[in-house]
Amino acid sequence: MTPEQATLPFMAEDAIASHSPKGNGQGRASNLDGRERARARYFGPDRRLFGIFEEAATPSDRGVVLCHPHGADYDSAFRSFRILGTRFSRAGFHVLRFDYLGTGDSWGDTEDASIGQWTQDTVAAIHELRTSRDLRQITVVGLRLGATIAALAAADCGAVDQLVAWAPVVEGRDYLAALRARHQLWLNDERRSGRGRSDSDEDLLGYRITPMIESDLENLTLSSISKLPAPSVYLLNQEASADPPQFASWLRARGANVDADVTDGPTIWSRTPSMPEAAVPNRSLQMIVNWVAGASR
Amino acid sequence: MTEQGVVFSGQSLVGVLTNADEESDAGQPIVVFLNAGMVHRVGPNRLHVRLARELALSGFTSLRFDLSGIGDSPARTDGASLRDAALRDVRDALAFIAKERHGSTFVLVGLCSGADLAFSAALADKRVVGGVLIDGFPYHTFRSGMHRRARQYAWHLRGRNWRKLVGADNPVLRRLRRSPKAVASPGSLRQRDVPSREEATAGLHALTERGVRLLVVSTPDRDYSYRRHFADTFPTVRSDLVKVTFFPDADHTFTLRANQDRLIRTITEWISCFQ
Repeated sequence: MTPEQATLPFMAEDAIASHSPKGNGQGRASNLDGRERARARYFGPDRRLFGIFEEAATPSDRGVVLCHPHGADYDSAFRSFRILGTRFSRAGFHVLRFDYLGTGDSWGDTEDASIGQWTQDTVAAIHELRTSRDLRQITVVGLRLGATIAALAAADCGAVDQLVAWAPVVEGRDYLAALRARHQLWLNDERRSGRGRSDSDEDLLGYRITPMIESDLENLTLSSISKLPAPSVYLLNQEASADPPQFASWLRARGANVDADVTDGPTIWSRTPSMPEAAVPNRSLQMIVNWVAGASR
Repeated sequence: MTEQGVVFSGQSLVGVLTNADEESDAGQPIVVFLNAGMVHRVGPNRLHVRLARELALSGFTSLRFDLSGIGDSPARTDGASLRDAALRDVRDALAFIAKERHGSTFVLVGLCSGADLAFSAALADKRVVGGVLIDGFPYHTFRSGMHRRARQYAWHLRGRNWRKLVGADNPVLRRLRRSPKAVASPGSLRQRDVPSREEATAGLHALTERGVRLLVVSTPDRDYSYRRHFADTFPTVRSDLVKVTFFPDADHTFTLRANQDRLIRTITEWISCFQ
């Protein structure tokens, strides 16, 4: 592996929500002022994890690690996560977005993965961002299964100051059931169209759920983790997501400072055909950035 | 095989190079993956990543990158139209790997709008010697119109909507009464930026005369597509350089793993013609 660090000037938010193949390009952000430096590189053990590192717009000793959701949720939420990263960068945080092993651009396939592996990947990402910038404060932000993995990793490494759990998967069994239901709906549509005859129980919405991951999810309960993930936790939920009051109670019982909000906006992780591909839950993103900026002062 | 993150084109386009072992990739064209719609460079259901690594094992180096405004690449700020911007991005990508990997020839791979772009980019750059065009050429034919109507009938029958089916306000019958010519008119579907059918026909002739090899893959997940769609759409394009494959069980983004595996096998077998 060539340890090349590729750099790019990340623009502010280049809005292309009005994406049209024949558009004239107007309406997109055109301001090149305030460029932020970013790097695309592999890191971690054997450099198997792919990450995008964004520099804080102003000198800073604070960093944010972003934990993607899993599978089809990852595809749907990718654009929002990039915008979230840029907003954190502009707000004065160093940012690392990365892919777990067997996902995105990272090495391996789903067969190599497990919840335990992805937790260790997140610990490696936290370590990488903290040491590469000599940071004083680290916040971990995750969406759906990414929020759960973020909490597990934070509890494991004990080096996270704030945790943001955005629509976290509290019960793995429920998440798996919902994923199967969504897959079945899709599969029914396919069969009505005469397709999808070669189904496998291991495929859910384009991604393989191996026996290992299935078993991990069946046994995953967020409120049963052994240690407090962070002294300050922000729980953000949207209408269609699971309600985590049990997790909030568990955190508070162990002395965590917990803020919880419910907001509306597109649930980008379970995108419906009527939802534009470029839909971004701007309000949720801003609430997250505002909370982290306030909590980390 | 190694992979590395890269940024090029004035440090604005983000991608990943998948390098085949040096001893095995001498003289092979370099494969370039183009975005499928708004999906970032890993491809729908991570298809590009899996395919890139399989191709590397066969000796082909590849680049998957994000066009400006998609995935990790910021939008261009020069006011170019999205079509011009995309063509410039591809040109910049080819220039980058030509320099980085001393590549002189390229194979472009694209799905949906990526196929449309691959076709246009292949016409624009003579270093392109091959293309994998998946669910491209979105032109209606008379038969695709009939297929669509048959599906609508089937939907009504399954839904027991008999009254609606035989009634005067039956939307299917209304469509059947229309002139076939209106249904058969070419056009861009789902706002895709495609040339006219006549321009596409001329382009295919130009590519085959240039010796460019094409693998045309289609699925029935678009209302214009069926097994003989390419042959019906381009009856004058008859060349050994164009291989057409239909995946009757696949959806547009190859969601099921079995279909992904079959597509990867099909492409890796086809690309061996460059070895």
